[in-house]
Amino acid sequence: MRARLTGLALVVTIIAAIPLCLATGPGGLSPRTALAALFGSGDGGRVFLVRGLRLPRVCDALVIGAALGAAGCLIQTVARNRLATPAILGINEGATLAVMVWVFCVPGSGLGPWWIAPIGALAAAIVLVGLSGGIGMRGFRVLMIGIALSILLRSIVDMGMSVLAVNHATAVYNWSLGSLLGADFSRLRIAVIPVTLALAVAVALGRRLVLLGFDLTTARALGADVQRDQWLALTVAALLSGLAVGIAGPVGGPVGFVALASPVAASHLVGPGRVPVLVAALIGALIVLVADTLARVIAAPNEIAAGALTSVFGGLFVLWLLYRRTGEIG
Amino acid sequence: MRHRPRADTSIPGALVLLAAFVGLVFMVSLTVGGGDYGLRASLAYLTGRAPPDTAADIARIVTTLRLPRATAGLLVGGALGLAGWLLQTATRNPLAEPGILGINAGAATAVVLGISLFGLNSGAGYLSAAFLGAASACALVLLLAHLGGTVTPLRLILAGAAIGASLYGVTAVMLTTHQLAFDEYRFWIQGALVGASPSMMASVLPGLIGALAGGVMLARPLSALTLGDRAARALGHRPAWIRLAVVGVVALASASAVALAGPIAFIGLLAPHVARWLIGRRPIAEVSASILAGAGLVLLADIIARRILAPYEAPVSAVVALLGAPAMIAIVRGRRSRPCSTTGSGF
Repeated sequence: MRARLTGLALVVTIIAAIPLCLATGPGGLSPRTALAALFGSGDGGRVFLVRGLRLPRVCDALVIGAALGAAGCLIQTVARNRLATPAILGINEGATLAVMVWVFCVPGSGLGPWWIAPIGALAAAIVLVGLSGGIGMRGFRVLMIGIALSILLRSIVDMGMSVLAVNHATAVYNWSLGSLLGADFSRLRIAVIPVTLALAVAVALGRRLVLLGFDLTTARALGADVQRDQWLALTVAALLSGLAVGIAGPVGGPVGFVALASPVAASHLVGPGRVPVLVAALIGALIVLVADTLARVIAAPNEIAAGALTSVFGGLFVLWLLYRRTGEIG
Repeated sequence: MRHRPRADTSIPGALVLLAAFVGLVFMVSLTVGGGDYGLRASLAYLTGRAPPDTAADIARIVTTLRLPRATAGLLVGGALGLAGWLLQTATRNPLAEPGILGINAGAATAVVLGISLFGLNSGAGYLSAAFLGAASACALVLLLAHLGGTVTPLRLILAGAAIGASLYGVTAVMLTTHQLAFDEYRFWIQGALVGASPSMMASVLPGLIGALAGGVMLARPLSALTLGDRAARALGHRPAWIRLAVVGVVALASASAVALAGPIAFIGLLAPHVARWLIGRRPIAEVSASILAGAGLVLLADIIARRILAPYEAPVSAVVALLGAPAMIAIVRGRRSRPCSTTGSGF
């Protein structure tokens, strides 16, 4: 009941936030005129500003945030560690690298297609589990090896970046910071289908993963197929975070603030004994929506990458977790 | 641990070999590079047998491009090797190093802030900004890892990664909002030896010499500290002051390295491991070996960086990470038998 109420409250908040986000920024719109322009009334410039420029960003932000929030919730549950996120574990870097490799292999293609990123993310997740000898039992080893893996993959991306011509490198650099500037529906239109499917699987998995909250022997005794659930959850999480990277770059920042903070907040709201995938997804959507809007106005007239903003908050959040919750991070 | 008499002041053979190796890599570094003058022509020039019509060209390339670069590699590597050894010994954590702990990021962010907000443009200005940033990050990471519970290696690494990520975000914001010539800083912010000019090196040199002297003087007290505070006090050392001095020297060394070449991770991780492997428990010889190993590794990585993507140039930090990240994975995997949390920290 509490989970449903929380979810409902979040949905209402997001719907209320959308006109505000559409109105914020240059152009002098009020939420009311922004809403009117969204439905096609008002002068042509305003309609284009709202429908052509800002609406795609809002939709991107919602989809990416939901994917990252759900992915973070799954990975934290499986790794039994609050600090395990797709970004810290190197899964996002795998996705970024895959996009980069595509840029090299298919000359003149601009950025890689959205579907190459989840493949890279999945590969990184498999390498990670192989190197650390299983996920879940030794949370600290998975984390440390994940940090090393993400640095390794990032250095390969850096090398590629130094080869690309300067103009191209600036574009890829801005993309690699995670920015929703210049979003349009071309990527989202198709990518939203796999994201929705993966989210549905993730929500269904959340119910089964509750058993993983116990120690593994108890979970087995209660009838959970621990190994299969862990692999399934990791795969879905990698796919979700890879899709998010494929749509708009690593918007979550290098520690993955969205994937880190949404599940923590969701657990606080919903209460113990649950794996609140859906609530975490809603909170993630709200966080990215707010971060992207802030990134648009905080340094006006310049625009900064939402990923740069989330990485500042992400680092501070990790420090706070380190200070507060010694028990949950080993 | 091998027991050696304290008065053993002979220079270990391994140290001499290491020094010879660094000298060799330094010479190779002068001969490798793009353009028409590769290994053969450069060697001919260095041995005085170059044909007179090309000698002037080669001389210009070697003395104005490759020599400053190799010297910068020597200085940067030595500084990072020193900082890494001090951090690993002080925290008793085999993964502690200025890159992973966010100290280099602190220095780099402070330099970027100094340039974009206060218009710094001198070597001394870069160095002082870098020192402030490195010292704050170093103090912060050690403090945070210490607060709220026992210090485990994981807490230290995570605190470092978190600080590094926050600072990375700040740097990214500064680079995208201030129209700093992005290209000018593209290599520096990633860590590369290309931009290190002789005047820059001259202004960093006093700080580096101070750090080296401080580091060598700290070597013995610091190894006494690894026996525990009580034993160190009984030997006549003052633990609190030693730790403060470590923070100062580490910050000075990392700041000099970052001011010269931008943030380069993993040298501080690899060099002390090489030193321990070569020398064993003799503090002064070990710290010297770590300094030499750091210099040799940076020079080697810079040579690889020049060749690996030729005709392009890779950032030296990326090459180092290609070597260092697998080493980090191996160190974590190698500690399977011992639970990480039993390794306490001196801080």
